[in-house]
Amino acid sequence: MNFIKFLRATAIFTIVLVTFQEAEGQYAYALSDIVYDNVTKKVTSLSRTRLDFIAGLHYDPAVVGGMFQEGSFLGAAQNTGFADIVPAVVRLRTTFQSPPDTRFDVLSDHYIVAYFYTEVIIYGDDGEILGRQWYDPLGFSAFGGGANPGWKSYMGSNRVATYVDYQYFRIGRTGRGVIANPTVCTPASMAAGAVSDSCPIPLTVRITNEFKPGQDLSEGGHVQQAMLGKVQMEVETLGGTSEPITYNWTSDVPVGVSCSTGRICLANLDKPTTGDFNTITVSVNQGS
Amino acid sequence: MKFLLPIVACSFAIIGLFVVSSDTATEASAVTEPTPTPTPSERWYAEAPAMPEELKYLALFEEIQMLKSKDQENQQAGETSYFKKSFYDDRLKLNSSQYATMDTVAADCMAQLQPLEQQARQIIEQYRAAYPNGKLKKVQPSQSQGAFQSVDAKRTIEPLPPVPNALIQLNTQRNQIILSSKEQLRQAFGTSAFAAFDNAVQENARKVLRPLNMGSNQLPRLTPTPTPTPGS
Repeated sequence: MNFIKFLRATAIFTIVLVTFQEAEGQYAYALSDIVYDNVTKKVTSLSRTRLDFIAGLHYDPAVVGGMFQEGSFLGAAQNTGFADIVPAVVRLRTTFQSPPDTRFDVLSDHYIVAYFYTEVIIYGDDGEILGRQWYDPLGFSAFGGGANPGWKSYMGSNRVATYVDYQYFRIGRTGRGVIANPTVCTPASMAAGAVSDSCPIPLTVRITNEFKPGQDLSEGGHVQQAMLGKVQMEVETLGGTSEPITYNWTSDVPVGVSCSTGRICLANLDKPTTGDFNTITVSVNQGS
Repeated sequence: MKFLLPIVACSFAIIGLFVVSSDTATEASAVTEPTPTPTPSERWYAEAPAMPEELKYLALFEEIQMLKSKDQENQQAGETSYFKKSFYDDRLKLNSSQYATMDTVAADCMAQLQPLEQQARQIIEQYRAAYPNGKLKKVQPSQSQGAFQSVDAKRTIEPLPPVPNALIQLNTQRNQIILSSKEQLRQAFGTSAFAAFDNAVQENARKVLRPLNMGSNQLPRLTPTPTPTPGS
């Protein structure tokens, strides 16, 4: 009998949970993406605002997408969709081959367009004016259209249906960047030290812990693409320790203890002290 | 205010046509005056919270279709581009033997969604048609509003009807189709290869997608619907 009660309670809980999850609609999905074609050396961007099926009953999506080259404006376009059926999409592409190591960005401003409105009479010195108040049942206008909204900042907003005197609600901005036409580093060119500031270096850094001699801090070491400059790595101390730790590193790239012209040098800049997790900073320099 | 967005956007678009083409291939060599704009930075790429799987995969399939059509448009214009292949290689880490499967599943999924979207469009248009041009219906005004009755007209508005059940069901079906397509990829790629692929999809979604949600206490609770079962 108790088992049946348990099953019944579980079933009710499940139904409530499913109901709650289904009610978790009312989203707008903002997307920015930019893709580089290394054959034509051109980029194409995508800006999109999509609504879910509840939000789509009350609003249409809209988007303004713009492309930038090294921070300079190249062009933009706008589009409006329909409900959750047709997302608002802007596609842009460059028509020229990218110069070497050039950054392109897409920035997208996302909007929703209210469908419902009510007419109001506005009393002014010159007489009565008939105006419109747009209905915002899901509270999107509370976003405020910040230039750089963060998810957490939305959570505290007042979730109340409201009326506003504008139809387009700017709900946020997204962006994405890519380095087009990057310099390619081959092992031979790396050995010769032929690297540039934007040339990625396939860098394997193996970090060991002198506190426990011979024991790796992280199995297999860290493998990551490193650019010239500082490289942040988070390492885990096996078993943890309260004692100071000295980190050593080795690398599979040709390195010099002292930097000579055209060579790459690695240096451990900081020495984290204690704890299970630490961030180690390695600098990747080129001798001059 | 109503026309501000199109006006601003069109101004940008006209300027931008000199160096960027949108849906039409416009070749030009002129360079515009640099416009003062904020330099993009990593802060725009903050991690997004968890999103429904169906939304991530829908975004994926849509982007693949977009890149595919962009390549086709370029080809018709006499230029060969490889945006879709670049996306497969660099973003999804697919090998060439997986291209065809990805193409087929994405195209099939979008094709299956089309009739549902047509039905959904009808439902939404009917829902909105009850309020021609979006003008809300008024109900009997209360006696307590006095001289500000018109200004406070919102208090006399009839509540919008609840979300139609048919639309909820269509949405469930849509999610099932998308998740079923994901399952097709799992079966085609195999468990380990799919795991790597799915990781790439998750990583991509984390970087390019941002859900904006206000929630609402204004809408009625929806009818419970069964959780979609992938592959069923």
